[in-house]
Amino acid sequence: MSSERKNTGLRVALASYDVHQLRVWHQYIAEQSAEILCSEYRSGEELLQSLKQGRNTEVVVLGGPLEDMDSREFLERMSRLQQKPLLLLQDNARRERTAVSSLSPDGPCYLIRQSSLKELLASLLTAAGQESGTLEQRFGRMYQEWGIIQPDSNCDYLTEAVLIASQSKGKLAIRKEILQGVAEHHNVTVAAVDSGLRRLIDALETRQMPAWKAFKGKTHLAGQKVTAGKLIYTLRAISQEYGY
Amino acid sequence: MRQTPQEQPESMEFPRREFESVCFHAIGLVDQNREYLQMHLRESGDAPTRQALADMELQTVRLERTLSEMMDLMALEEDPVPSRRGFDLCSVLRQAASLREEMARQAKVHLTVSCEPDTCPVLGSPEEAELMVFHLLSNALRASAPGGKIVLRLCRAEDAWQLTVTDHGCGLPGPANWQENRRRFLGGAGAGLKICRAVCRRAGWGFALEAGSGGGAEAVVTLPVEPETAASGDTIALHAAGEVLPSRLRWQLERELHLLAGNA
Repeated sequence: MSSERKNTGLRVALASYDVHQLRVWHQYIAEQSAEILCSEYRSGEELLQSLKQGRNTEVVVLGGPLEDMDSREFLERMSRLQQKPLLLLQDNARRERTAVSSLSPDGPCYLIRQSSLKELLASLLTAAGQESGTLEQRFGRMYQEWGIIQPDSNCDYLTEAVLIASQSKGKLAIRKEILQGVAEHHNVTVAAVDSGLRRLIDALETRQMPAWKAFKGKTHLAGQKVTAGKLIYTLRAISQEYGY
Repeated sequence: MRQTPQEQPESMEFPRREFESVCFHAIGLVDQNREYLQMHLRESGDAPTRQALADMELQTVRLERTLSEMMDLMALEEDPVPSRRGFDLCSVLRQAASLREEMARQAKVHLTVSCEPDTCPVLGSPEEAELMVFHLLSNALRASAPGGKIVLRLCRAEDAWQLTVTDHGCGLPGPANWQENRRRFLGGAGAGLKICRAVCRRAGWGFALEAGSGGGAEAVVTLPVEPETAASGDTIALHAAGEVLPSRLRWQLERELHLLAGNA
């Protein structure tokens, strides 16, 4: 079983003080790609509020100063957000040192050196590649961050389990419905799937990679005993947030 | 009129950064709108319309380049000298060398880069060194006719490094060649040599421009050998979508070749 994103749009916030800049970006992107969904912001404060509220902005395109703050202040404040979107910084070659120096070393940032529309779109599509793909691909990247080298059959079991759980609005019986479905798909026994998932969780809890700890903190699994059922339903909630 | 304590005399300083920001923003926007029109008129536009848009593209590149040059010169003349750090001058030359094929293809000029040491640690500003190398090469390209040769050479001369840029082009302006020289350099702001001299002055390097032995011109930059200078790394590498962006020097040279090809 595989899944594609139900809503395949990449959500982009276009930010500039200049309405003419916003217009040509938005018009061009809309004509070139139906996959990219843009919102326009002239106010840095408004955009930061929107990002803080977690309104699913995946990429911010910043083209210089904003109505109420310069780009440096915006970048510094954005770097302090818990969840940071990808940043595309349009800057000419002159100011790149200043721009780069104000970037957080943690957040991913792409610098568009030339101000061409074509390069902007290419950068967005590349950024989109990092944020889209099938659920398997996204989870695969997540497992890597958790310290599990891919491919890994236990991770495959987990992803399959999430996909099965996602098919129902309510809760399915873990062993009888979910693990059974995984076992049939992979042509193994339910016991093999069950012990595989236990080994996976043990490995995660032993390694305690920062990304795993952050995931538990964000999803309220911190401080609890992580079971296969809890992990499957937590990941199901996340997949729904991603739009799968 | 008496001033209250809150009133401060308005600064007479030229608002350079604001001027730069507004101008580059406007140029960028003009060019993006040109690009948008070109996209729409690629199939439906007639030849003169397409030509007009191509000309607009060239002129925005020229405008952006000229403005950059003036801003660079102002910065070199007004800004404090940045703290010197170690860098490898050979890496700057290698960036230029990477455009050999492009130069041959677009400008029909053959570039030879000769770096006697594998590394050449020097003290200075790597960004300003790149700017200087760009302008030296740009001048050499403008001076050269198709089929011409440019040699960029770095070697040790007694207790100094010597960086030379030699071309076999129209040569320094004089009574015999002023018209040819003027034709080749018309359309530029002529600040390139001033920038090179300013960079050298700030870095404590020597600079001389001489007529070449076989015609053409030779620029010579003399850099002191710094004992126990560790190169702290190449100039800043910026990342775009997981790959390393071309350096500013390479980007500027690519733009210059585009400009020269468009003017031909």
